[in-house]
Amino acid sequence: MRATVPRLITPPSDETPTYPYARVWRNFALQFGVLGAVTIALYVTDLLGLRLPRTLYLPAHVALALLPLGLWFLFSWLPERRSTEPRVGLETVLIVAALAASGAALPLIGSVFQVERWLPAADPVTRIVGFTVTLGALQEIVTYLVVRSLAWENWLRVRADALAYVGAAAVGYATVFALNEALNGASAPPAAAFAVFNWVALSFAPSFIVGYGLGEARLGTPTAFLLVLSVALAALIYGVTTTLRAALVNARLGLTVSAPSPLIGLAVDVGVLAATGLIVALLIVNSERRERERLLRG
Amino acid sequence: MTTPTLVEIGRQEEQGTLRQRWSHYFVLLYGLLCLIIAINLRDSTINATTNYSDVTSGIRAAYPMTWVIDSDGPYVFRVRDMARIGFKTSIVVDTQPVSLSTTTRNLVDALSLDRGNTLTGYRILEIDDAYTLPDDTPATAVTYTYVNVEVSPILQTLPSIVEGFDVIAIRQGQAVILSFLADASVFEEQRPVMDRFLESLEF
Repeated sequence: MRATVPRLITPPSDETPTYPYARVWRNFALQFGVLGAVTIALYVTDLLGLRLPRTLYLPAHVALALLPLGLWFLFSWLPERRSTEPRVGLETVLIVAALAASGAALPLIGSVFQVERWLPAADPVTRIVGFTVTLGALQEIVTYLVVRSLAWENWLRVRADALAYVGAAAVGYATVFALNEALNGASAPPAAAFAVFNWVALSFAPSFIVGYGLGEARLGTPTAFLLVLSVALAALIYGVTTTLRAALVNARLGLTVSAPSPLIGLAVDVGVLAATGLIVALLIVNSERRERERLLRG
Repeated sequence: MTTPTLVEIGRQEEQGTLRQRWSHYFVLLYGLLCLIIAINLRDSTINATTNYSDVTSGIRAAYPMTWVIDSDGPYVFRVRDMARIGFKTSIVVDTQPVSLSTTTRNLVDALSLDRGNTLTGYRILEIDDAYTLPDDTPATAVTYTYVNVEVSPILQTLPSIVEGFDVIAIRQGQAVILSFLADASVFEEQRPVMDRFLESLEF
């Protein structure tokens, strides 16, 4: 008599495959969330009458300007180190973007564009076009050039990689501009915090679109115009946001008492970040779905 | 004897597709286009002018659009850059009836005597008797400096050094005195505004 050995079939696994890369959107959301919380906390403490002595304004401004950099290291760079497939060279992209901002963008704005001389007093349409073709285009071209020269060839594996690298470039760029304002401005810390959040929002929100354009151009098969359209749209968003924010935030001239509205400015910044982030996330999901379908079709 | 062969093992460089290369060219072209538009827009906005015309004094000129005009003082009109912090860069136009024997040099001396008594630290830096206006009218140009003290003590500002440039011309029994005043630190930077003003001047 032969004993029958039961045949065991391995049951299908319910485990979802582990995502090997660090989560870009979650990390960005944490950075913006903490920065926004610090900004509101400073605003509330100021309303309650808890104010720093003037001698501490400069150190406080510098600390606030460096806060986005610290948050990026905490919520983007460290999670990368813990992921299965970490993105390499993020800190290189950040440093090169900061150097480009300090060595090229700031001098170009100060000596060539001179926006302070002619844009604040111009009509709204001129301001939108002016900010788009000067500060907006400059920022997006610098971001594009840095990511194109460092990450394009070897470091863009999935579309989210492009976002991670433009995010690093945006942090470097925004930190230099925030530091420049912190060292030259004389405002109170809450106003400096709102300004820092504004720099971060203006650097990140348009750069998401450039990141989408770079990812698509590298990994997809879009039209040759997609990349330039993404850069142009990002610059336009910069121009519109800057003009709109200034119109809503600045105190109005009139017979009644008026004051700046920094909370409206914060709301505009958060709105632009959320809107561009959501649109780019949907576009990326759509692109990846179409690519999967194309691969399945053979 | 065989010669050693060197074998290099390296990463294969990706050249990118033609479409990718064109997309990069388009971005660079866009950057160049933005730079041209930005400089053009900046110049057209900064140099935008408004026309001024006064039939009584027979003067027509174009002054910077963002400057504020007033004609309430002892002059035909004055335009000032009110957006400037500190001393407001100004162009002052005045006329004065003169006799046939009066020369521009006489007017310069009279003005210098008057300013020496009214302005703090007034000093003439240069007098150019061979100056000509853009329409070839002979004139005398005077460059001078003085210390400007804010009248209002509430403003609590330090005195500033002002540099001035006067152009004095005589035509048909009337002298026209054109004064350009700016903080000494920005005088040279702002001087093209006066040059453009003189080019547009008709009297």
